[in-house]
Amino acid sequence: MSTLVLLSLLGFLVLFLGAFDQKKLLLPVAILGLVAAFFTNALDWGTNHLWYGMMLYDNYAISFVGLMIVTLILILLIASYQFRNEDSHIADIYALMIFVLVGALVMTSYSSLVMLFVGIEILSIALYILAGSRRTNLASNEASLKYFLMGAFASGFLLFGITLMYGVTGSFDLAVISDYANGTDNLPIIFTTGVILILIGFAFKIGAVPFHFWTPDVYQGAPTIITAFMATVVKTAGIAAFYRLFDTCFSGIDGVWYNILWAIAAATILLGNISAVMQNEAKRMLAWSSVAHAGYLLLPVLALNELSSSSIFYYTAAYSVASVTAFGVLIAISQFNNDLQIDQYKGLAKNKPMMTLALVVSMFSLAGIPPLAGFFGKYFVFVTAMESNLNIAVMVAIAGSLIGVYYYFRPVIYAFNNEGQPMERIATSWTFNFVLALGVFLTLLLGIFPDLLSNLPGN
Amino acid sequence: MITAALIAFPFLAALLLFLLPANMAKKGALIATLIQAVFTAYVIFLFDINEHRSFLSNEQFILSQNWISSMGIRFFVGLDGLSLLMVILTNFLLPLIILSTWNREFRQPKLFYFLILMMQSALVGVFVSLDAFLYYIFWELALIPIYFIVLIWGGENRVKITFKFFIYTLLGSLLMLAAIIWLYLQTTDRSFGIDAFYALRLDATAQRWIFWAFFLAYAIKIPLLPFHSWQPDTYTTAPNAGSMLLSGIMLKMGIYSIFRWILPITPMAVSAYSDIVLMMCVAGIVYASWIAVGQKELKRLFAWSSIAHVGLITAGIFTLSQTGFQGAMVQMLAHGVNVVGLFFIAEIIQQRTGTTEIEKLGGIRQLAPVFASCYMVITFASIALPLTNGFIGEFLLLSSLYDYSFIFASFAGLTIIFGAVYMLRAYKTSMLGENPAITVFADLSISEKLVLFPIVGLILFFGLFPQFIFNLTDESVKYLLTEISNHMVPTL
Repeated sequence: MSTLVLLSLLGFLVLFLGAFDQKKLLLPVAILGLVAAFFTNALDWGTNHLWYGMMLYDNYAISFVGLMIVTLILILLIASYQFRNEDSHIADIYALMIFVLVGALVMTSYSSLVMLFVGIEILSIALYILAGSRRTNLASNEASLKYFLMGAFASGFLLFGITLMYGVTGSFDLAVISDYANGTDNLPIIFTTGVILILIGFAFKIGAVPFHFWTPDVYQGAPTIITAFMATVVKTAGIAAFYRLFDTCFSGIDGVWYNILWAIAAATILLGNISAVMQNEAKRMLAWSSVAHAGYLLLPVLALNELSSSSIFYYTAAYSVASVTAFGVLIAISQFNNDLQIDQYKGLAKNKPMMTLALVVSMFSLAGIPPLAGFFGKYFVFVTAMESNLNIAVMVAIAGSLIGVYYYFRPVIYAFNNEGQPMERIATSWTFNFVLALGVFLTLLLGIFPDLLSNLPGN
Repeated sequence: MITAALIAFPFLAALLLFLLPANMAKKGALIATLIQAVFTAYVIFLFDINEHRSFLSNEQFILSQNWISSMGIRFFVGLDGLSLLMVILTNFLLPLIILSTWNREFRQPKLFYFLILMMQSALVGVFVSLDAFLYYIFWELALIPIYFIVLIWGGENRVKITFKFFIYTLLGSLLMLAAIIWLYLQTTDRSFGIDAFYALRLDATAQRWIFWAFFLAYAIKIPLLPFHSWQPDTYTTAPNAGSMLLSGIMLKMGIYSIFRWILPITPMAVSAYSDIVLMMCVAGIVYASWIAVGQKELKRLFAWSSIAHVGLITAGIFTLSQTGFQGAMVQMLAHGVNVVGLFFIAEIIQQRTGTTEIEKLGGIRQLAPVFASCYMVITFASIALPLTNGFIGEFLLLSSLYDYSFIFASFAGLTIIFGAVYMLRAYKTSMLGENPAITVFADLSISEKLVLFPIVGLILFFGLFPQFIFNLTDESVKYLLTEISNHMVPTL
């Protein structure tokens, strides 16, 4: 709870700093606040505090919140670099990102469906604004509107499902719903419809096929750093909330949703990867790839065994670090060119060897090449799935990974092509270099010593 | 510890290369590989070929350290005769491969030699790993450096070709990964250790699935017909050092892995499918030899002949006989040495004349007699003339095939005839006769002699005294045979 309060206050503080034109203080205050939040969050470890029957702050929540705080710190450092020449409302952007984190925190720790909905709304509303934060840019506005409409749709489905569930069980409480689901022989059709509606709502939020069609446009239109933010923190929160609900409440009634989710996962993996192959714009390619990753993340939800939460956590961690690094490189290269084509990575190796290293490591990690973190994440997901005999789904995922190699390698191949335009003009800042170096380091470290995280969140 | 040091040394040396100035990278890499070779010689000296030890035949220098303990993954390495043979091959060929680049200036030399040393580290890792997960990591890790070597320093069309190569091999690896995970989930104490895998008694259906998942990875890597289509292009477009690494050492990963992983884990499937695999091999031998006869370009010719040779090696293994196993092990070493020699010959010709098209060459023997003589010895070894290292291996392999089936043996025997045709014709056309277009062809320089003379020496040495290889691998062969026969009857 202290983390929740701290983060909310931090958001307001950042807003006020912006209002009083203290631009120099913004970044240090935000980072310090987040670091403090990370520690208060860690202090709750093992307490399993249930707040007013609404939020259960268990190790699962703490692990995911910790991960999202770290990711946000990295993203803010890159944001300060991307927005270094723009003086307009950076404070608003920082503050909104922190508010998104507040929503994400609620989404990972809810023990009542009401809190789930509140969390999702806190997160989403801030995101609608963030997606449109480049006010003069038409694409950004379009992204914002599209995201808002689709988000409203998803919220509608979710809310409808929650309502039906409440109608049947008379409670929003996860424990009550779980007892009802596992203790009733013939579940009323209203209840199963509720489960499916909630599933659809989540599928919308994490951008799973066939509810994915907003992702590429929104990801492409939003400012790149916001895209990175959506692909990492928001996706993590979505999948964590998804798993929490299905693990606590619906694990005993998988007959209702198993086949649907299986199909969604397989379709997401295949369509995400295949569509990414066909993209020529780097940002759009990364957007589609994030759809594919949502598909891999659904496998542990489908498997629903004792390894699931660990593999989801590990995978999101590996994916977040690699994505932030990949988007960071993209931001640096595309500073003179908004719609960066993949072949414009040409000449990177010659001019910016260190940035190329970051590109190679992050792309290979996303593609799942050992010994990087992304590989171990995939491996972990495969083990989890095969433990529950999802052998065919793993074969689909393997096919997806193979396709994935194609588009993740393209920027790398172009980067080693020496015919490109000189990139000396690319300016970097120390925060930017720091994030890239840290991203490379963490990707290697987590890949070689996965034990550092693979036991989280623990039970 | 010694085994781990064999892996770690090239890795650390590779990192240290970045501290050197660019023009010293080549020398640094050469020194590192020489130290590694001396170190390997010392390991041979320490290795006790008569030792029988516990569950794993004669594995020695075992190091078992928890690595990812939550998943039962260990850093578990050790050497038996077979592993040591492969380590010897790797570590003795590497200095020659680096020396073969002595006269060439690569752009970004530090990166180039860094990748080669990384590759050495990963290859040694593949050959000594006794934990399936660790083995898989090294298996994949070996692919990355060679990918970049071909991508950055390769010839025409390299982007497309390397891509096909990468996707092809990755497809195999990922299926193998799924099989490894499946086996891991079957072990009683959730372990990736080779001992736990060998202790599994799988039923026939499971063995079939596992067999194909592993075998596909190896068939692509070796490569066997019909998975060979990446190979000629990749060998041709790769810089010569890359072709040497690929054909001399990397494809041996596949053959070695058949011994290490497929045979003891899925013996029933192996004997059930041996006819199919032998057909693949024999078809590959005949087909590749036939194609090789029609090649007009040296590197392509060597690439195709390599497919024929490794097909024969694999065929020997799948006869499941002592002769076949021993022949395969001898021939792995011999093929590694010979093919590195051949690609270096192609490199020298390419540098001097600017082409490797056979028709455009000729008359080189008069201009460079030492070079031509070395080429001749390597050619003889490649067509398995007696007294060369190629003879013993091919003889054993063909005799094991003959014991298995006369028909297979007679078709596979064509490789000797075809081999003689295309190799000797290539030699004749490129070296003998007269060619007014080639008036200058300097004979071998000192660095080139330092590569070719050891290769010629090894060819003759192992042709005359193959006993060393038999001594080294004897225990492994016996162990494999008993392990297979023990596994044939599943204990239910």
